[in-house]
Amino acid sequence: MMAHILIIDDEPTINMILQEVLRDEGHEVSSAPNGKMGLEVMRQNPPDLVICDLRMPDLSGRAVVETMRTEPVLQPIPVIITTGAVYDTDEFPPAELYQATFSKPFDLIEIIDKVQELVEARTR
Amino acid sequence: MKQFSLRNRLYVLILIVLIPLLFLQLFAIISRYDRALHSEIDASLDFAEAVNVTFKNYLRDLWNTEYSIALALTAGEGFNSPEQIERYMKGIARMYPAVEGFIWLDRQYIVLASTISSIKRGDNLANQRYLKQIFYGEDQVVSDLVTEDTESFLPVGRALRDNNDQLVGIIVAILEPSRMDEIVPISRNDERSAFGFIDRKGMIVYHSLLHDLPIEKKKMWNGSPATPAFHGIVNVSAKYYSPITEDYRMGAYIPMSSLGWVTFVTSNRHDVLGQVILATIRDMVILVIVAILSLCVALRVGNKFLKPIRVLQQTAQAISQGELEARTLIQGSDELAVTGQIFDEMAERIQQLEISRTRFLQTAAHELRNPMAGIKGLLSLVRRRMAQGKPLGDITQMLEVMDREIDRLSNLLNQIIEAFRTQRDRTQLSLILKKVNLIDVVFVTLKPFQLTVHQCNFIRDIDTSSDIWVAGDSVRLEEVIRNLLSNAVKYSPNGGNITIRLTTDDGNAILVVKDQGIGIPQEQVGRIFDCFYRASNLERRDPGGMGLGLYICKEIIEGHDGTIWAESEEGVGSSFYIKLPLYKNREEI
Repeated sequence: MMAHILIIDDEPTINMILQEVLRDEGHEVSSAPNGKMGLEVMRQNPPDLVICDLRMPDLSGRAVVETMRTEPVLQPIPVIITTGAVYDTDEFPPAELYQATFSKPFDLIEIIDKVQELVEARTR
Repeated sequence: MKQFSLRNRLYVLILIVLIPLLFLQLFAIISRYDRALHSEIDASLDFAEAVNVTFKNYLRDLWNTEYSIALALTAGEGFNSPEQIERYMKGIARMYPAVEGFIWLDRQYIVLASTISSIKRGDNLANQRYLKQIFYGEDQVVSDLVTEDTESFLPVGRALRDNNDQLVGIIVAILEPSRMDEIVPISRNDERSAFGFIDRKGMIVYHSLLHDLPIEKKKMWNGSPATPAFHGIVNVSAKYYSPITEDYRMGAYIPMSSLGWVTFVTSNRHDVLGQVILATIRDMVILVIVAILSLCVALRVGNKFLKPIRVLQQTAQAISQGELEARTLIQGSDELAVTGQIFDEMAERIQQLEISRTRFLQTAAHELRNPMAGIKGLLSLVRRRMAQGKPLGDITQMLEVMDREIDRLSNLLNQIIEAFRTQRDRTQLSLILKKVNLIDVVFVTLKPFQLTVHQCNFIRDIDTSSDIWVAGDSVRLEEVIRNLLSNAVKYSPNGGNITIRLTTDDGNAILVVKDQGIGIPQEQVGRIFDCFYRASNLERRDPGGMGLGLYICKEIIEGHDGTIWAESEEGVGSSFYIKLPLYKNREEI
């Protein structure tokens, strides 16, 4: 099943890898290097799913998710969080605001499966 | 339980101080009481001696008078009838107020003349005990008290003997005890004080207070304080009950040795000691009240003293159990309060250190995981494409990316190791100090920045006409300056000025790196040199920093006996200062 996925990550390598692997799966992928631009992109063209890093300059992943949940158009979009954080820190948004989390370094297959699962659940 | 033992020790300390004082006071009160007692008894003894002497003098005088009478009577001049003798004797008796009358006896103890109504001429007095003493050779005798019905009297006899020591006659004076006040005309101060004489049979001959004692009450009771005095021993008693006067008394009993009598001088105990006892009770009550009061005050002060210690203990315990935010919050300026305040500062540092450490760990983990995630991700991507038989993509670019990520990992690890190394032991910084020209060091460091960084203007404010020599490790000093410059570049806006000023002042070289960057919040300026500390406004702009750069700078500068500090205003810019002693001031190198 094809879907439009937005990747927000300030790490160019990770951003690039996620784009490549999801395109391989046949998804339409857009990307943003930080939270501010991520929000701009999704407001112009709301995606079916967002993959978002937590620790980013200008606007953190937590702020991005919290902002999304206040905007009616962005509110229903599922979010996968990727993070290098070790502990449950206050960098995380409240658990009910996002659907899944992956700790770096993550397994690409697991992310692909999760994306698939969330996309199917959304179109059903 | 432990905190009570300190309190107990304090209480013991208080008691150790208080108890001797209490005992001293108690001793003083008791001695005052004792002194009053003893002075009264001493006075009684003196008085008794005086009474003794006075009474003996009186007797001697009376005996002399009797002898004169006897001589006159036996001379036979004008005494033709007993009536004449009796008239003569009555005349003399009037001169002795205590004497009721005289009796004149012949050698057979037959009364020849008498001025006493109860004794008639012709009476035989041979069975009188005191006259038997004359028979046995004594000349001067005093009878024990003689009682007849309700009357009592005291005969005092004097024998007259011829040249052959043969008894010629006896003259006897009859003293009336109730009139003996005249003999000892002394009175005592206290209303119920008394003195008197007790005869050999234990009968009270004279009692200065009770003239009309009934005969049955004149007998001294068994075990009275007079008893030892009959055996020649001076006896004093501080307290005894007298059935005669029916009160508690104190006083002295002394022997009147020649007669075998006892002289007593006694007082009502309450009259003498009443005031003293009252004063003693009052002193005791005051003492007890003062003792309780001072104990209460001491305990209050002690508790006040213990409170900060207990707070300190509880706070230390809380911190040791992981409650890093616990503080004593002790106010004041005494040693304990200051200890509490220093403790709070220490706790604050520990808490900050813990926060820094946690933040460092998170940052380090985050920074390490990003390159790892990149490498692992690229590998999985390639493997997946291979498995699915898809084109692999630009392998050269992927390998370059992996290579870069591994360099990043290695750089991060070096930084972490360096940080821990400098933190562990400053001396391990292994500086190689040589005479270096600081101007050269600054120029060498500045050059690459001027060549590569174009968005900032570098302004040099350095007088190159004379060298500035310091004892330094040029490689390390370059590292410090490079760090300050790259910070200035990193946080400056495009087109911002970065000023580098190098001057000397009072034996020191001073280097200033001034930027027009984002600045540092005022309250954080003092802490930016701490290990792993990062100013809060940097987090967004440069999330990758570990808070190590300035810490390492500080370690290096302090290793040069120099100082480094910063002045900053948020949104306006920051100035970093380095002060290093000039070479000539470091003779030891």
